[in-house]
Amino acid sequence: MKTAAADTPRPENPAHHPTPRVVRGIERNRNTRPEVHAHRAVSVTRSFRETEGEPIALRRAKMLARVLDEHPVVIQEGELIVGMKALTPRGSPVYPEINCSWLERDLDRLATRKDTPFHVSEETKHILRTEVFPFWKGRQIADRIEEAVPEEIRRADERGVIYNYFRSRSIGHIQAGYEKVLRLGMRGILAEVEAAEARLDRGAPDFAGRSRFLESVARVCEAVVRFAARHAAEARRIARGTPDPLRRAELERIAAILDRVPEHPARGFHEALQSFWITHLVLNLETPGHAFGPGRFDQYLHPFYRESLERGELTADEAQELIDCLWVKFDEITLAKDSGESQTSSSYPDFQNLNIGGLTRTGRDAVNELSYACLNALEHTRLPQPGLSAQIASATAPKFLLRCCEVLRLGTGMPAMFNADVLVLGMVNRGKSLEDARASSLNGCVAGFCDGKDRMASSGYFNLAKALELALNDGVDRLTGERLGPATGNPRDFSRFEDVLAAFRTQVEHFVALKVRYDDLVRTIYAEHCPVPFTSALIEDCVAAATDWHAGGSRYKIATISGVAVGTVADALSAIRTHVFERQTVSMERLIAALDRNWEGDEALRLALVNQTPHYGNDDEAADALAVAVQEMFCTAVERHTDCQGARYWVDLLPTTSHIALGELTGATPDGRRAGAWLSEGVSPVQGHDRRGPTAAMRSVAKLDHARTNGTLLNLKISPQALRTDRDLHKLAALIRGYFSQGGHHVQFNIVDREILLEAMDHPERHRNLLIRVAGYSDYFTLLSRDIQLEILSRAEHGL
Amino acid sequence: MTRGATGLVFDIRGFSLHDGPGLRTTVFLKGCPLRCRWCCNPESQRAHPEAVWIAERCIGCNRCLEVCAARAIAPAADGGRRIDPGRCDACGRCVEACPGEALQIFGRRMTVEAVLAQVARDALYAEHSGGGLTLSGGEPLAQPEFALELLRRYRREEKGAHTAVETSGEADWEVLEALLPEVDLFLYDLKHPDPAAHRRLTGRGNERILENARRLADAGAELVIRMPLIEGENDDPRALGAAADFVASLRVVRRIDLLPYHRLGEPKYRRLGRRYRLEGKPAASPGRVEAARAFLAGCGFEVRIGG
Repeated sequence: MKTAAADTPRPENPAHHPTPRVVRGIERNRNTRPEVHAHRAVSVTRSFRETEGEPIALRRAKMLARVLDEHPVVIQEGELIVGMKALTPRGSPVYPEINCSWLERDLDRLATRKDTPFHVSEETKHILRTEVFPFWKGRQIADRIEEAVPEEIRRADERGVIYNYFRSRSIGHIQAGYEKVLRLGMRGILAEVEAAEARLDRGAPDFAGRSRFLESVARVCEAVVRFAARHAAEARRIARGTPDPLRRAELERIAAILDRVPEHPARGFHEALQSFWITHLVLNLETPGHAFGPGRFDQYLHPFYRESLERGELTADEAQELIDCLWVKFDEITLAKDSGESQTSSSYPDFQNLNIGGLTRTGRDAVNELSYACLNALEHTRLPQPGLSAQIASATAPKFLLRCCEVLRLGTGMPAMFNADVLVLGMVNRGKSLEDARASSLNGCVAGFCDGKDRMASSGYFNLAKALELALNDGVDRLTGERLGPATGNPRDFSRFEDVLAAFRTQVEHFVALKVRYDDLVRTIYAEHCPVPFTSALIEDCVAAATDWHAGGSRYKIATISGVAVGTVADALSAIRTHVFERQTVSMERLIAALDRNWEGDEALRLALVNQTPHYGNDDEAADALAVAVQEMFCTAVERHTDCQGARYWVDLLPTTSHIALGELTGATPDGRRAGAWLSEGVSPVQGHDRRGPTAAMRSVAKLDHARTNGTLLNLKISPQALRTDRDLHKLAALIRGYFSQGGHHVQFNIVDREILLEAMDHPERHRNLLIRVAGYSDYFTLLSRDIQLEILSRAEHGL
Repeated sequence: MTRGATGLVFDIRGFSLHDGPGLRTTVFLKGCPLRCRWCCNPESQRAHPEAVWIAERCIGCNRCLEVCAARAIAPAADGGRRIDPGRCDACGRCVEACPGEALQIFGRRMTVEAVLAQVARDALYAEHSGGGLTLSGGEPLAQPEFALELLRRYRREEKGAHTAVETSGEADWEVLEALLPEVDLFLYDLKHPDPAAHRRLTGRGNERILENARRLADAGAELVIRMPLIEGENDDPRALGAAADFVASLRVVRRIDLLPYHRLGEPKYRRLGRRYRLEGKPAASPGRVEAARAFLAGCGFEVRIGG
């Protein structure tokens, strides 16, 4: 018999509180409005003016060196880990060399736009307008892409069939080898550069280029050392004026640490964290790359943590405070993005995916005390950054999974849960060695990477629902009447369901080929015009092979295309098969007419398609088989391609928030969705269409082949009532284990809170499946009268 | 009962968390001999299928009126629909025809095989969590042969997986006796210790219920007692004291679940065209729930709120 305590709802552990300095840091971030700063843009512009005519590798190295040499050094009150991406927390630098046209266009609107507004001071505006924007006209990467993109691709992008995010951000995701800096320091990397230089064949035709690349790496490594030294000097300056002896000692300690790292290998935990942070900052200042992931943080930092505790330099509590302080630093990081980009990934947080748990290189449970400390940091700070991902393998200790569930209950939606076994399987399938596959992490939202050795480029989204729209309109955009895709026949002439599938397949194949051309073009431009010496220094085998990361220098390379709206397409196909071909309750003619009119005057038909169709997400064999067929079709179309650097193409099924933006560009779909409405998210069922609870939804989703993708995303909602007691945590853990044992890749849980309930009151159609369960009672939330809804709302607030 | 016989089921829910250990599938059987005033699932009470019309979802297309052969559906004065339960034979045609899912039928006849096939889908989750099958209701004992067959077959097919029955105990002892070997846990209701009060609140006395609880305890069954808490009806010290004395006298019971009253079931009565007899009764206040919990905990029981 278990004790009563296991079942009593427990307040959070009172020991799990952040220290006052951490609280002040959280408050500081919260109370500082996001702002755009011009310093980086000015340094970049001046540097590029001066280096006109020099080889691009050197120009880029000099550019980054100048950015670092001129970067304003700010050390904030109470900080133990120092260094900022911009003058203020949640401040954004500008990357004019990639794209500043959007900023020029939006400069006066940036502070008032709906998604992620940024303040811009009049002084900043003036500097950008006089000194920055004019210089970059025609010189931005975005300009070069713009010039090179053929009309057909541009149209497909503008109309929301394919989307490439490397016009406003540079190529990501970046899973750098932080461990290398911790272990070797900049001096060690410089020694590597020297050795590589010595190995170069001086007679080879590419000698000059390779040598220049190595020189560019050396230059930025030296600049990083100076960057740290400037921080050390600033810490000493502040220390001198600090009357409080404790704080003065802290600042002197910080200065001593920065004298040492990242120039030299780190000794102990504090040095390692500071070395990590400078490295992370420099990566962020080199490019606005899509997603810089800290990766397997608990693995490469654990030896330093252990060392400090064993030597008695730190207590566990002091180490925890350092981690909490680092969490506050992660939360400072943001990037002002183009409004278009902002819609496809709409948030201030910038995809700093930090992994804990998983497997060691030899396949054992990798969980250690630092893994738990990271969970504590999330519990203490409740900050949206870093994105915390827990890798759960069959070998993972139950205690760790349960602690993850306990933290999940706090309602931040984190940690996201990943299946390490499926990750490893997929990585091996995509060419990684078994050991490297186990050392993999998740980057961005759910994409798999090998730390410090990889180049995966998820280059943007593929709107499967738009491809279906074209298949049902002979290749013509239903919203604009423009021809976008190949003529696949008048849908009214389709006599069998297979004709629909065939037309869909043709559209998918066409646009995948177009997307691959698009990617190659973008990749070539980045390789020629945007070398990244610092990123290259941290990703094997760029230095050894004397080849820039953007030019394909990494050990591993894959390319991916992110499919969006599997659920919407599966349900739409199911509606067509059920109503047009099986029951013949509606003709194709009538259906197409209703789609053309966006269901106007056809509400009964629309509702019949919504409510009387078997849907993906309910463990219904026939409907789920359509989702499987859509994946298979998409994978087959994608996997036959190889990019211009020899990387094979793979699929991932993650949307970020593009299912909203791409939905706006997609006409009405036969699943009853109205034009412009959201598409389904990741591999999740259509919002509100999974009616049979999480286990049925998970069984459906697990029918897809997750190992064949480089990442899938499943979002589930869970009622706080379901997680009241510690014993309930075991049940959540079993739910996760159950999903993973069926082959699922990722799941994250949103606790049904006030926000979700309020949204369900405003948008009942998205939440028809939201089941409220209180003790023996259950009913659908959207069916309740307003006063009962309000009662449930107040219960949710009290966690009942 | 022979194989292939049917029972009246009103819901089957996977991911059931609070009806026994682990992740469970709960099968709700329709029909109950009691009419507890606070019942939040009135659709579970009657032992026949029932159609309901949900105003919030109706688009007024009139298809239900067209397809109803029994002419049980009629437009109401307020623009809504009325279903005449006397005429409705729950054929389900209106449900099929309704595009908005505004019509629903509670209760369908299912074979043991069909129920078990659905339960088996969640077997993996039950295995990972030490969960299993729970029969609930309604009152599962009101369909004794179907319930027994379900439990027996489930046990056989899932190799002794965990079974639970949630019951009011209002049945002949022979029914419980027959189930005993197939049930690991009884979640057993105690709504009021006093027979007269029990009759007033539920429509029946509690003599047989208390007697059955004692016999189950004597037979060595694992019992968890569940007590609904309704302010001013059964949460006074006298009722609680008598309840605690009775449970203590069973000797084997260690755990009591308290189910605080809430009024979330009220709209369902309206949909079913029935009167809600606790109108205006406030939901259980946290203070009184805590007082009851503390009292019962003080009597030595493990007390859980909400089960």
